[in-house]
Amino acid sequence: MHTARLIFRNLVFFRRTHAGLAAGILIATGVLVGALVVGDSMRYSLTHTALRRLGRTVYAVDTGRHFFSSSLADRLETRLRVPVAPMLHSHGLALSRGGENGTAQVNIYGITDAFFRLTSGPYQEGPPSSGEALVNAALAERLALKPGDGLIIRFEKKSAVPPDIPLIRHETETAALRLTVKTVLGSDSMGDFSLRISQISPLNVFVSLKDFSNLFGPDSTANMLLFGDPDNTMDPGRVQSAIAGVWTLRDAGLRLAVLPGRSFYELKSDRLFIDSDVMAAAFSGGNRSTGVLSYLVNRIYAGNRETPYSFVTGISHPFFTEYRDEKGIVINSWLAQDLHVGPGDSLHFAYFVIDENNNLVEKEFGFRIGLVEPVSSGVFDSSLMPDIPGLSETENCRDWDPGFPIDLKKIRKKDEAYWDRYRGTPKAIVSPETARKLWGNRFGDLTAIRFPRSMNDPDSIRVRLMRNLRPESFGFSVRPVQNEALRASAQGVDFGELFLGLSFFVTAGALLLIGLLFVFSIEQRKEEIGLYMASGFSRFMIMKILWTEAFFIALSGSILGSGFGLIITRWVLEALGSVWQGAVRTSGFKMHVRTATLAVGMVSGLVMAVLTFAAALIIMMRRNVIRLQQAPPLPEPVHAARLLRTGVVIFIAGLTGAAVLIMTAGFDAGRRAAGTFMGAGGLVLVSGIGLCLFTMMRVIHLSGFRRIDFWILAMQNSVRRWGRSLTAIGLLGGTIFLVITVGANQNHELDNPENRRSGTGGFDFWAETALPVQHNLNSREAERFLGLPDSLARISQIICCRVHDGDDASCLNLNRISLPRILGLDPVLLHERGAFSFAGLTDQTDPDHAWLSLERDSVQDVIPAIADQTVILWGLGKQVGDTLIVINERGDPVHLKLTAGLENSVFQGNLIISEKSFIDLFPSVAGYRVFLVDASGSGRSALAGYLKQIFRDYGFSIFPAAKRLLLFYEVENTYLTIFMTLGALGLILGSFGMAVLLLRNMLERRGELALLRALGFEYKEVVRIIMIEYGFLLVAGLGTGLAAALIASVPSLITSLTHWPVRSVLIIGFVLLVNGLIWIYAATRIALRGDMLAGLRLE
Amino acid sequence: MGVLLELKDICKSYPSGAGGTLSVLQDVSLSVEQGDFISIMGPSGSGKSTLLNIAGTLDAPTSGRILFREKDLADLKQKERTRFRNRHLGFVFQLHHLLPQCTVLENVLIPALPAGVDSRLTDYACHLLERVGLDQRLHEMPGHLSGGERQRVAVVRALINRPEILLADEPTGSLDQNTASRMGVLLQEINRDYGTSLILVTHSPELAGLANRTYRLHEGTLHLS
Repeated sequence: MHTARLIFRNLVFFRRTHAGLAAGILIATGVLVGALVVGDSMRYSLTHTALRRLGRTVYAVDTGRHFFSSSLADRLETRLRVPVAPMLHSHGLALSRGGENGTAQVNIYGITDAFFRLTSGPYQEGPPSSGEALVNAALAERLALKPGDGLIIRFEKKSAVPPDIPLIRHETETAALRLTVKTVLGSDSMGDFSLRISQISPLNVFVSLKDFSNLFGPDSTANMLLFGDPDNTMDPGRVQSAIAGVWTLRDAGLRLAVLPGRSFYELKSDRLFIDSDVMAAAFSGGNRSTGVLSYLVNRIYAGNRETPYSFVTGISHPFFTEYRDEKGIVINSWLAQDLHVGPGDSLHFAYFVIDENNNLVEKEFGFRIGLVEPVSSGVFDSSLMPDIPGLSETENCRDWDPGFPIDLKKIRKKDEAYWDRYRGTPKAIVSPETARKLWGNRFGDLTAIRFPRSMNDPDSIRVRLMRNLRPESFGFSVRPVQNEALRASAQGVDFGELFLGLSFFVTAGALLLIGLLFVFSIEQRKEEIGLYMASGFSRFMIMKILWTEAFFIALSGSILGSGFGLIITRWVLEALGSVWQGAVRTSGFKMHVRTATLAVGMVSGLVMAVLTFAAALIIMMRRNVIRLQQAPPLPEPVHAARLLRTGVVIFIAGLTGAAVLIMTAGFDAGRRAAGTFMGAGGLVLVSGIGLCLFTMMRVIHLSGFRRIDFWILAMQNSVRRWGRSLTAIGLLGGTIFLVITVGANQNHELDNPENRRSGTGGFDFWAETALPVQHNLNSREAERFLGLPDSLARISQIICCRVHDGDDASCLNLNRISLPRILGLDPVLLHERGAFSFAGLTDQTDPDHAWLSLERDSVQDVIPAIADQTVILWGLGKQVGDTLIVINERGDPVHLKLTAGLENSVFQGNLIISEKSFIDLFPSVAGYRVFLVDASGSGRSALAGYLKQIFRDYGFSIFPAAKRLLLFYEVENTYLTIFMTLGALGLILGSFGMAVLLLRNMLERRGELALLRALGFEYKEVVRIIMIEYGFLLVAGLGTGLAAALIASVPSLITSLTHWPVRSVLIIGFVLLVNGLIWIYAATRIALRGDMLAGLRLE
Repeated sequence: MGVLLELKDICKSYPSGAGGTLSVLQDVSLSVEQGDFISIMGPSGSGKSTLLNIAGTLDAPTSGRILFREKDLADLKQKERTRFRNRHLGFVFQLHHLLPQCTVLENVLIPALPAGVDSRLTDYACHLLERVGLDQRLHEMPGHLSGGERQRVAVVRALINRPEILLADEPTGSLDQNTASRMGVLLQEINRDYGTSLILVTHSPELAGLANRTYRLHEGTLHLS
């Protein structure tokens, strides 16, 4: 006989009890393992999605509006010896079935063979032919497309010339392609390709790069490069150097012209204006190059004579060297004759510029004529005219269509004659400084740079320029997209942690169950323990025996629990792909089991169980075995009276406190007072416990220990163990309160969406366009553009936002985002409106002027930014006051400081900066794509319909701002539903534990029950007494918890009564009540079975 | 014969509901010499079992001293007290408290587990079981034994560590008269053959009559009959 044998005997003999214990551990471990494996599976699925999205792409370059020759990819491939694919990307909308089905936010990619070298999927047939398209599964599903179906795509015909540029300001130019779907490209063939990080599949159309780029211009252009790295030999620096080594002036959008018969070479930009980087490179090295800034003025007038639409050039001229007069001007003889002016006379220009609000405004400037030169003198040169689309190539002035308003009626016959003879030869020359002052803009200060032939040759100019230009300034910033995606998925929402939290009550319920089962099993064996003690077993040895048994039980439970955990994982993943899809917005998550995770979960379950056993064992062993037999006495009358008074005080104090809290907050306070009502609910719970104490003591007090009836008899045991009874009521009530209050506190309707301080900012609609709208819709220009009928002219405000695409940082994205979408807007408008509320501010941010914190001095390096507090905390993993780095259009890193965090708002997922800062960062991003619309009054739906009509070609989507906000809440609501479901499961599991406790009590009282039978109580009467006794605890716990939960849920009830989960709450309450009653009845039956009187006779 | 166990002025009281105390034992003194067979009688609730529990160090007195071979057991730490019980005392309870999961032989050997069980001890257990007529039932489970057999196993179990004192708390309380008589004879033989001192708490005058000395516990005080 050895201890091990004894342990073995015990394990076999008490196998039923141990099986119950192992089942409890199985559940606890299963929940743990399930949560952890769900976490792993989600991470794996996100990583898998990210890798499928990118295929074998490791690095990428996205130059946006900077177009380059697609041959750059070939040059890079030769240099780097890795696959490099050129792409042309634009946004747009897709229509099928003759426009019946349509969707916006579609990515259109022009691709070549090289694209398929980056995939390993089954589709390897190369790019689609002309007129064909490949679509991804998401788009095919959205538009019900299949191979052979027709598809129309409408997209922004991006131009190298930014639409906001003066002289060519125009509407967003769109083009359409009619295509036939060749095939639906699977995600494993990069059908879901995107540089954006998200678990949600994009909507993609792939067309031939050649066909697509033909619509953008004569050259085969691209704006995206994808790099593979099959041998893992690259790094971003190496790719960046390679670009710098092989790119050309054309790739930078620059043209060096050798003009026949001229004494200079001329450098021009596809972007019309030459920016400061190119200017610095061109002027370096003392090559005596000259800057040219030519501008189209609306009119030149002197007195009552006027010449319309003329080019004026700012260029160096001996006159300005001699007379340093900013108001001096040299005009040609044609203009002098037309205006009847000569040297010494004054004349004025009127010209358009774009103001800070992106509005086209006319300005004027006055000059004094210094010199009149013949139009054919050579000073005035037709090559000085910039290449303005819609103007330069026209035969007649009347065909001009530059995009900005031109009154063609003003053009006279002599103007046509001038155009026919001299084309865009400038009629006047001003000093370069004056030209820069008048017409310099964010896109550059020059329209051309001239290099004297005598001192330069084209090759040396090219070499010098390429040596001094940084590819990053033209958008050639290399992004390690694969690493970014992997990091984003690895650091994304931790579902393991999340589900551990959400399943807290299940774990707690399982632990409670195993704790109680263990105590029960030990108590069943107290005689055995007493024998060990009497036989001289040390406490340590007894504990060793029991603990070793427990360890083996825990081990078997946790091993089986690991298997159960995998089943739970499958359930959860299936639920996340179906009923709980609101939390993740996608489906198709794959189960991924890591041995390490399984081991961690199993060991955690084991440790948890062993610790629970150890705690129960220590508590048990501290008790005197002899005293375990003794039941606590009923409270003395004097104590009962004191406890009764205490109960009354707790009851009244709790209710009073709750009433005060509710009155302070007011019933109409809505969700803002959710915390206060939660506190009031808590006080109601405490008050309920006080009432129970009062009720129990009242029974004793009334009876005075002299009266007896069924009720008193039933209550006496509850009273005898009044501490245990109140604990049971408190535990049950508290858990119900927490589960229902938290779980049912869902946002399905907003308190007061019209309130400007709410998450909608008081706006009625949130609208987005796939293609940018060039007009600021608050401008006069826009009024004309919108042309709203009087009945709809009640629009009080439209806030327009510029958009720099980035990743969605809202709760809808499960990845950790580092480059969110950036919105540029006018913060003054939101400040004046008093829109939105802030959850967090830096110390330097004035709470009353938080929006104005977005404004900055021009010298300030750090750009202030605002985002939703949830985006800051969870999407970006930052705090208010932190900075984050974004790359501006020139490829430079810029620091953005988070000056404030918004309360939950429609802006979730975006980073907000001022429009001014936005233009500094991304000068080429033209127009507006996000709009907040305040219809303020009736006719909201009519307005939405009208806007849809106007913007139908822009891929316009408009929906109520409140609905957008509720979309974010849906994620939270789903999590709360999961919490409530799992909480209810935990409660039911906990009720098993309570049933064990009940059975234990009943067996302890078997003698007492036998006595009742001996005294002539019928079986059903004994059952009745027990049902009253435990039913009281059950109903008291349930009632208290539900009442407290109801009070705490008042804000949810008032704001969204129709969505409050009444049915779920009733089901939970009913299931718990029935479950409890069944357990009580079952325990009573077990305790009363057999010949009880025989036991009594034996005693 | 030297004094083996000596209880001096033992008092034991419990707190009562109204804030007072309930005195169970008052200045109880008792000397047990080697080979003594002492019986203690008294009405229910008189404190007999309490006295036996105190003598067996299962319970502590409110005041008074317990000396074993003139060594005060109050000086012993918990662990030493446990070891003392294991080496010097044996217990027989009214209910046998046999472990249902263990065989007869295994039940007997349980008190030997703390010190370790060897074949010599197993042989001794078999000898003792043979002595009480259970040598044919060594590997039976307790569930298959009669009440008397179970109680005999309990007695053998109490003897396995060759205790100097055997404490028996109403060992025949749950047995019929014939079986009880045979149990009394067995205890007497153990006392005689092994020289084991015996303190027996009983309601049975017949059983008490087998002892050398009989005490009566009345209202917390002990009187020699």
